[in-house]
Amino acid sequence: MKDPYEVLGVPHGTSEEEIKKAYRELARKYHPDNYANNPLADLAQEKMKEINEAYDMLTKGGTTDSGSSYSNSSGYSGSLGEVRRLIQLGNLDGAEAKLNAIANHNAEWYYLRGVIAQRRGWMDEAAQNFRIAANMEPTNFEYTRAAGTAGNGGYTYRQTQYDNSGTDDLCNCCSTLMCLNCLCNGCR
Amino acid sequence: MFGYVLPRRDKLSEAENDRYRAAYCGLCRCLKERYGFRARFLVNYDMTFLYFLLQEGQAKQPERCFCPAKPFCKKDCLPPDGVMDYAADMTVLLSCWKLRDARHDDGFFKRMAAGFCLRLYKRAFQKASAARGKENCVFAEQLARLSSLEEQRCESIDRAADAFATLLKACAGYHADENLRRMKELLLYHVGRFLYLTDALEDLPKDNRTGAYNPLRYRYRLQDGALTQADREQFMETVDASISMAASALELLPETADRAILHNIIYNGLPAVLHSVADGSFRKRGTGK
Repeated sequence: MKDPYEVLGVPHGTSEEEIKKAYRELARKYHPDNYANNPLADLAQEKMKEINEAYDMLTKGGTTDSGSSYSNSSGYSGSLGEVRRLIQLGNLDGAEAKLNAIANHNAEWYYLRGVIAQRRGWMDEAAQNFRIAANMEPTNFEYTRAAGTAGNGGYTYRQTQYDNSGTDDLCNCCSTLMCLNCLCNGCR
Repeated sequence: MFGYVLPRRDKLSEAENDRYRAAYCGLCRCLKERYGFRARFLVNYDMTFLYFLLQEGQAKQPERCFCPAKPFCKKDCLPPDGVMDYAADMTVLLSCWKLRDARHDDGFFKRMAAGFCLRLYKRAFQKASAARGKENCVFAEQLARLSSLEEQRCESIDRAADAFATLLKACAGYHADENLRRMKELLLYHVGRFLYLTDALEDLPKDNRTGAYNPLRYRYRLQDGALTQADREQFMETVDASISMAASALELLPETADRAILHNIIYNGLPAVLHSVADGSFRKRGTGK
């Protein structure tokens, strides 16, 4: 069992308020929504579980859900349900073959095609298919959310200010290896 | 290699800057020790990133070492270890494959130069491919797949990028632990995808002139040889999605000594490079140095 303070990244003896804050921060980072359709979803879920357990331990019996609300694969039936099941199992080629054999291309069909592409890391095709699905059924939350987050693969990394000043070469010395500039540059 | 995988130096602390430089110099020294002097010329930033990515456990302390570029003062170098050796081997393999590729592509003089350099690195390549046979097989396989996709004038940027991304992913083969490998595979896949697509964006004007294959020419409808505003936004979004996926994998990796540098490269460096390539200022940086 790991040290719960270490899991939450706080020093021993931190106040409950601070623990709560650290927990919230981590829970937001590893939330299943951030890892939906991510091939590492299972590892994120494990991490989330570890964080929840650490938090429970430190707050003595505080109630947190351990990510069990995640997993929405059950309750689907028919051939598209089978496709969902194959995706869940990670059999993307099988899922794609099954999908291609279906003649009726409804919104869900495009959505699932998007999910397969996203799981492969093919973000452009994923976004295209999600957009079609969302256009066909604009009231479906699952599709519109996927279309909205397709641009970031579901995971939002903090946007930083873009400027180019910092991408200068740090130590572009070896490519100009024998240059005489060493004589004028000093040791940096 | 492309030289796109860079940190934002201004967002690194003094100590982190020193570590980054020491890793670069350490890789350069390791190349020399394993492959002889001329291999020093192959050192690059992309593989320095690979070194930081594959690193595990305790921080290594730098040593003072001789640098032929600055012969009058010693430099800090991170000492060679398993990861450094691996990064050096990958540097040789990937550089040689790039040279092999250049022998078919560019103009006459470039082809000749590439052929000449290949001969210089022939023995280094033999040694590296013998040591890392598994990775070398993947590189050969995926590059063959890439050139057949190029010949078919593949219209999907995802599929074209997939070959190169899969190639880079093979570098995670350093790890035996399955979970660790899976995380780094995903990270490298998306860094590879980022590299391929950013390169395609940068080469677009040149490829339009020469008529060479560029996936963007087939995926989007170009206007006057450039992407329309809407297409451009979509393209930036899809590359950004890869940076996000790389970040999602990074967040799951266990703590390592130089994590701040990796964090900086993915969260700050890659977006800055993408945007400077998009607005045309990337190659201009560093002029007047």
